[in-house]
Amino acid sequence: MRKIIAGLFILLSATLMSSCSKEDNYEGPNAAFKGRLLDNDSKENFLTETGGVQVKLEELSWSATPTPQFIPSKSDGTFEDTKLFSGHYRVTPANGAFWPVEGIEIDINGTTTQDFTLTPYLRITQFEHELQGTTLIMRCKLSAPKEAGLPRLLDIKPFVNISDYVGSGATISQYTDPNKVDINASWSGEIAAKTYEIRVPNLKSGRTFYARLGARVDDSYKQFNYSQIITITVP
Amino acid sequence: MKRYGGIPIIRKVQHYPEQSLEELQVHRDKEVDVWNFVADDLDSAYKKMPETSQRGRANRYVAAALKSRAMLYAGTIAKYGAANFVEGEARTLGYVGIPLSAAQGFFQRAWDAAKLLEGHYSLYRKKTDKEQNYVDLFLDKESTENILVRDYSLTSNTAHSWDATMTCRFMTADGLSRAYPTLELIERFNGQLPVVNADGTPRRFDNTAQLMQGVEPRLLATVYFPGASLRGKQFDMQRGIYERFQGTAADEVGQNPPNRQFRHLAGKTETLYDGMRIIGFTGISTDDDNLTRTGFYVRKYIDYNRAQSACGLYMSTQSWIDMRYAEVLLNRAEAAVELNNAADARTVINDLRDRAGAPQLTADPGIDTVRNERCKELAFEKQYWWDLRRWRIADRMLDNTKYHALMPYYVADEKKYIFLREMEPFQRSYNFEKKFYYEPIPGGELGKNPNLFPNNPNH
Repeated sequence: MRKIIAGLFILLSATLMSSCSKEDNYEGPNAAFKGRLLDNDSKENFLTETGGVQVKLEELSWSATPTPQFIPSKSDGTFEDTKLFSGHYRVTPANGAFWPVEGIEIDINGTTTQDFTLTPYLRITQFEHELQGTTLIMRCKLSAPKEAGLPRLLDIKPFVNISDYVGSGATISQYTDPNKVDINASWSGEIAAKTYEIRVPNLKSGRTFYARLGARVDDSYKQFNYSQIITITVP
Repeated sequence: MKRYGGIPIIRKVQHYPEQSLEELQVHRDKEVDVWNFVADDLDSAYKKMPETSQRGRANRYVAAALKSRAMLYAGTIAKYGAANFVEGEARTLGYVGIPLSAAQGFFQRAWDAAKLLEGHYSLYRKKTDKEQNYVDLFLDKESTENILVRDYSLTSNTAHSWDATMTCRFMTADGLSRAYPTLELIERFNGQLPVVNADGTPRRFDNTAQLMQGVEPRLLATVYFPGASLRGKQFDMQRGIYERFQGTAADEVGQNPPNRQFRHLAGKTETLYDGMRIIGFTGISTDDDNLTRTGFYVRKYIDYNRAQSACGLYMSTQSWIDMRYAEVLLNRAEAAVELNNAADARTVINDLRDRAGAPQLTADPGIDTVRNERCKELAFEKQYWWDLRRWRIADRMLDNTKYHALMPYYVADEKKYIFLREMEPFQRSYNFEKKFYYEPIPGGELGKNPNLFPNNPNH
């Protein structure tokens, strides 16, 4: 009996293997596309988080209405995808906290590099912080590169994490939502003049934290414009 | 419609291969046109159908009730979708989104359709006890409130599992419960429950059932509170036991809880502390969510007369009420407020509140009051999700939101119970992106018919 079963298994695996022996003679995806997302003012990398911006790719080589694919941004404001098919693409940075930009058409083959300049909805300026005991106090002002048509401002949130990957998708939630500052108003001179203070109390002693602030507006995507990341060691 | 926005209107049956592909590959229609088409279709159904029908079948009032629902959807999408939307080609072309100017017309049609049912159906009021009456409304096949129902039976292999999956195994024969009412839903009725004294300390209770005193009968009939009974057994949910408890509730749920070292939690119902079950038979476990995560269980539709041994998977046969008159009244009230006729909304809501055992409105309601009444009355009836969407508030309500639980604890040295308002133990966060207001047209359909492009914004 066992021999029969073993024999059947051998037969089965032989059949399975031979059934996949047809050769795939198409090229694999061997092109790469990468680049930086740049802030239009500082020309530094756009302040974002992992997936805070998506670079939308539409391959126009075959169809005028392709299913889009997306390259999520890295936390440092760059993006890279090394498994693409060579071809003619329309590329549009999207789904982020910046004014919409027109896509560009580009041929991708080998390693193609393309940077994009983005205008953020908001900038966090005069960002400073101090630690009082176990309470982190962060202060900032907001500025808007383009005021006309700016969607309503929603809130400013503190993001705190134990690694330097810190943002809305990587934060210790008990330090974030209870300490946010709601704005819920349209842009005004009053908001521009105001200094916002965000306090994060009860940080654990003896730990090192990475923190930043994020502000967002009520656009289609509700992503955050971020401050720089700061490192705090709680005594 | 409520998922995709504008879809192709097809007035004549399509034939393949008699017709060419070019003829069959139709374009999408504008969202406003499709809602108008639905309205016209239901109008002609109303004219052609009889007043009464066999159980489970449609009649002219089913068409009117559905019209009131559909037109309310269209009106709110027009009004609130004009301010909260995702840009995209499908929106520019009108495939998703309705012009704001169409809103009032849709609201008027919703109100008119709802009004057609007046005098033909009424709220269920058979029992004098308001709580029992509200429980039976979902189980009594003769309810005067039922407009369209769906029946289930064991013999036709259509039985369902509501009883087995809404309460825990302690009360059932098979299956596991997975759906638990949030504390946020309970607080829609009358704000926070009175579990904290004026000085901030947790109020002491002799038993958990005392919490139910003074609670609206409709709420008690909608969810099982700690201390409630079913099939001769008591819901004795406990989160745990405190050896002793000092200080305020706020401190204990804060970041440095003073009594934490005296607290005992457990994963299994058998675990004892000083001879007492730490989480009771129905309690809040540290292991999994086979028992409640929020301190409550769903009561609506639970067949309390059914023997425990008959509460297995695919053994429940109570009917699903797809349309009941209360929904039509709420459609009417919402349309009335949107049409600046709050007095009509007040009359209608007071009818519902009287049946529910809730206090009457003393002033004309605003839109928030009407919406909240809808959430209370239609809880667990598959309306809330779609309401959040059509009101275009889902992205604010579900903004990495976490929900709360009401945790009952036994304080051992005082022999009393306390309740703490805590985060539900899984601390799961719920998020809704604006692009979800419309689902993507499925890839398979787009592959068959490229004329369905452009897809919905940001999909």
